Amino acid sequence: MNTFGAPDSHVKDRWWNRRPGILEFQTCGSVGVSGHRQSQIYSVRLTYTLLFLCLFMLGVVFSVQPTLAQSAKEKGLRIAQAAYDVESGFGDSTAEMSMILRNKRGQESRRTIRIKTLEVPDGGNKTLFVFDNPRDVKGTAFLTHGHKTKPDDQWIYLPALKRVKRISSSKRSGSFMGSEFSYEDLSTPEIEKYQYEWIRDEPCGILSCTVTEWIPLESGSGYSRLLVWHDRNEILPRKTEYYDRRNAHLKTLTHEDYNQYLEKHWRPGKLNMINHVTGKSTELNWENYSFNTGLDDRDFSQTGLRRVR
Amino acid sequence: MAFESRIYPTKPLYPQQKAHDHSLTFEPTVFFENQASHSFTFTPFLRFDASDNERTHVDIREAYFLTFGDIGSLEWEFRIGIDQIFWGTAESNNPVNIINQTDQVEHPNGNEKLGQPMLHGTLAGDWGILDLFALPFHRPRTYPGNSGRLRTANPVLLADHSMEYEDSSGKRHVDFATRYSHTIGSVDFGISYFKGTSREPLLISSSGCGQPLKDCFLRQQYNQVSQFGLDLQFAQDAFLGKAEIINRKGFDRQGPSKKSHNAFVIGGEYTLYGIFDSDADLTLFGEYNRDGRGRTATTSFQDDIFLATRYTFNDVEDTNFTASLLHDMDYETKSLNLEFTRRLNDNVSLKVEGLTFFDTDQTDAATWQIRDDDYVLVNLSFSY
Repeated sequence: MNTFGAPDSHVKDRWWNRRPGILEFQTCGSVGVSGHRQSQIYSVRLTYTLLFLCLFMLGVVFSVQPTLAQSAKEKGLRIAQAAYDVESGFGDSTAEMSMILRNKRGQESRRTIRIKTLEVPDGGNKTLFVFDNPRDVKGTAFLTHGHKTKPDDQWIYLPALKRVKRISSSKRSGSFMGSEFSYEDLSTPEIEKYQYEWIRDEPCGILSCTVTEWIPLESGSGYSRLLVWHDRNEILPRKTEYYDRRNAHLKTLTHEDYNQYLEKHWRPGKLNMINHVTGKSTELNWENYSFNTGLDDRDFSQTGLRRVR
Repeated sequence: MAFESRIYPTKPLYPQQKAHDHSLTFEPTVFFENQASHSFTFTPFLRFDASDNERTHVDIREAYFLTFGDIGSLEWEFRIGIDQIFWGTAESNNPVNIINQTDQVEHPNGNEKLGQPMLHGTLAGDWGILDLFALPFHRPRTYPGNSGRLRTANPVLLADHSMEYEDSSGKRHVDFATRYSHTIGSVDFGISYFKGTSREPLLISSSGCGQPLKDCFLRQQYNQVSQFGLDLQFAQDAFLGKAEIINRKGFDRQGPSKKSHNAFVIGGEYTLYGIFDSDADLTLFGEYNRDGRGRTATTSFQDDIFLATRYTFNDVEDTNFTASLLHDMDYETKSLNLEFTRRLNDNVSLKVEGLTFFDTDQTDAATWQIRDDDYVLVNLSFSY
């Protein structure tokens, strides 16, 4: 199946594209050609005039450059905001995830995790991960209280010790249970935590995508930037490229098999993260999504964490 | 289920002791849930040890019924039965952790606990969590038998009738405990109070000790204590700060006493994430333990520094290597523990551990008695 396949591939003109943004440079590029088409008498003068005009225009272009850059940033922010809007408004959800870790030789290892998410409209979302497999970590739970601007609060519950331990916020960039996903990759992104810039529009498979650059603002992030492909139809993430602190292309994530739940919430069935440096990959298969399950703050409290099974 | 062997390379100090012990443990958990808000959890524990009869033991780690719900914005929980409660934040020692008795035969670090019968109510809201406990039965501490290693020079008597309780109701004294805990910003803290029979025994020599041809034993004496505790942990970037402080009164080395003392452990851990450009993390631990009673303290954490490092490979097998050193500043006694853990497959995990004591001093009786009990442990555990 095509990576970027989606039920509806019709491309609408999205509102963010209707704004004037990028100037066409065609006129200046064709100066020489137009010169040759004029008569010899006028050609020199015309060329000078055109050159002068062109230099003048270039001057104008360079002087308005900050405004243009600003609008690429504004456009990037608008796309990101639209993408967040698509993903929000679900209230709460539960799902099951199987994680398949593959090494360079194709050897596989599997984990199964139950996930509960609570949307907090004015703050960051709350998420709870509970491990069912491997069996030696069964019942181990990760609780995250997301925040919009400050680092998330995170705890781990160790059932064998009946102990709740805080996880330091710097662990964000570390591997989640030996997978190619870091804690950061699995946390719900908050709009305030990145700076955005629209890069380009381009086809992605049978869909049309818009590419934005996300620059993490948190010092604990493991990345210098992310390139995110959203389809222009539903504004769902289709592909993400992760660039490490030295700006080397580290990982690529593809989001596949989207399904719509309750006629509004789109969720991917499969996420695949490939690490280009190690050749390892991790596949997440999502099942049994359900929404409005009646979860509240209490399921994401320290007492809730102690009740986890 | 697990197989565990401990090999002691040094000749035993006491004639009955063996050069190794091999054991088999079972710890299944049964969980029933009839509705979302009612459940029953049952976790029995059994260890069969080929060398030490006292280490062969059965315990019920958990057997409790839980119900919970809410009234308005107030969340409540009620548990009745046998349970394990952990309070504390530190790695080397948890002075605030007082609800459960130590299952000392399991590991010399005393982290394994016996199940405690209790009534446990919880109220929680935006203001924090309040736990209330009534603890109707006292569990005496377990100790290795005559043939076991890591024991006191004179064996501890373990029969019920050999226990001495300060309170006339003996082990049926109903203890009371409460803890208020809350999270403010990146700080988690708990304030606790306990009043009842001490979990820590005072070991007293049986009469006639020291006379020729007379066997010498230690009797466990359990006094009434009251203890205030404060524990906290906070995260700041890659640093995790931890502290536990107690104020306790009830007994000293001479017996019941009205004098109170303070004890604390303070420290933290710092993690270097993705060290050497790998997926691995290196965590450094440092803690300082102090007991206001100094050398007359009844515990061995009177003036001790704990330094440790853990290398977490963050691999599929969850491989970890930990080295920890406990240094007693008063007696210069040191113990070094090396631990390696790795998952072999979905159901099997391996642990290899080494413990050694050095610079032991005759005046530090607690470690002097076990100075030749250095060991290497191999544990294969199967989980289904």
